[in-house]
Amino acid sequence: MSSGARLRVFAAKLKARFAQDKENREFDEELWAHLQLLTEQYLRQGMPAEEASLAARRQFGNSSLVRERHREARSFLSLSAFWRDVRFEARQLARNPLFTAIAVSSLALGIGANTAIFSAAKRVLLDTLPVTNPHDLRLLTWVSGHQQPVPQVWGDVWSTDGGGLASNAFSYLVFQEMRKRTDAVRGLIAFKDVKMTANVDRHPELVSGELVSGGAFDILGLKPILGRLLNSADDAGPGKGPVAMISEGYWAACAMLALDAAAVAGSAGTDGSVSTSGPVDRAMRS
Amino acid sequence: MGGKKSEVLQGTLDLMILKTLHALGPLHGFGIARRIEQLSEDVLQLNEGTVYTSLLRLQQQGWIVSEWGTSENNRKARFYSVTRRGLKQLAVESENWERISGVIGRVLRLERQG
Repeated sequence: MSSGARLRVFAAKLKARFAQDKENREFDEELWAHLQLLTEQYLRQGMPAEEASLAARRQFGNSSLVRERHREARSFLSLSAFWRDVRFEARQLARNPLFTAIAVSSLALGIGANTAIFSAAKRVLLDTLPVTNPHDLRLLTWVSGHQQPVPQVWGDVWSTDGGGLASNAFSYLVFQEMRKRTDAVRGLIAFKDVKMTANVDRHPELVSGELVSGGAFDILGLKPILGRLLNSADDAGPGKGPVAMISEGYWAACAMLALDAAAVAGSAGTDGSVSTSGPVDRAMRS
Repeated sequence: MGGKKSEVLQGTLDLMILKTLHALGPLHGFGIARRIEQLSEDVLQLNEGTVYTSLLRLQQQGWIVSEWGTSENNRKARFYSVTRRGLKQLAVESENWERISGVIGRVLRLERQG
């Protein structure tokens, strides 16, 4: 039997599974009608009633066996037949390892790709940020005419439908002014991604960091695992007393290099300046 | 031809039923059994119940379909008819049968050599 035919038989059985009672009744009716017709035929040939009925049964064969086979063929009732099929398929697969390998690896690739895409999409689309009120967060954008209010290197600048420009890069002065308007927002956070050098136990390395305004963690409602978080007091002014925090992931990576955790917390510095702070909440890792 | 009747060969009943439905159009199980009995001229021993097993098999393969209707003597009956897929299958099976029976015929006609 071809695989297409096999599938059709399977579908027919599946359908029958849901209409079994009706099917059984109809099939009984069909057999009964057949026996009636045979009996009538013998009666017309002049047989006595009793003999005619017997002859009809003989001609028909074992009707209960037919019914049983019919029921079995229409359903998955026969478990032994099912296992026979499973074993047969398993042998077929074993006999044709190349086909099996291709089938299994296509399945694996398909399932794997879908899982990966879903995990990424879930993070971007479904999961919320691990902060106190994720739904209250807004990213501000300015829209202008053709002039460019901030240098392009500050952040993304894109064209609007009206032929103007838009960006979410603001100057620090604008940020400071906007922060004063406490009637409009509960809190304002400035951030900018930067590459910086971290000296861990006197081993310098390039790390991806983020410059943030002091009140950021307060507004987001985060808690540190060790040490303290940045606060508004750390916004002393340009170049004055910069402080750094490291993520739990970075801390774990340093710990994996057999660096002393206390040393990590004590000596991680940026741009040569000393700073201390504990790793951020585990939830902020991503 | 008197004497012993031959059993219907395994698998050939399906082909016979398919061909019967193709030649005569929609029929109920009783009608199919009568037709095969008539054609076989009492050579074949057919348990008519097995016709239904075969009909189910053909339906599950999608080669025939069934529909309830009314028979000549005004009885409710299930009528079977060949599908397009069934026609294709019939062509394949017929050719197969011709080939095999041809081979068997030739083998049986072999003269003793040497």
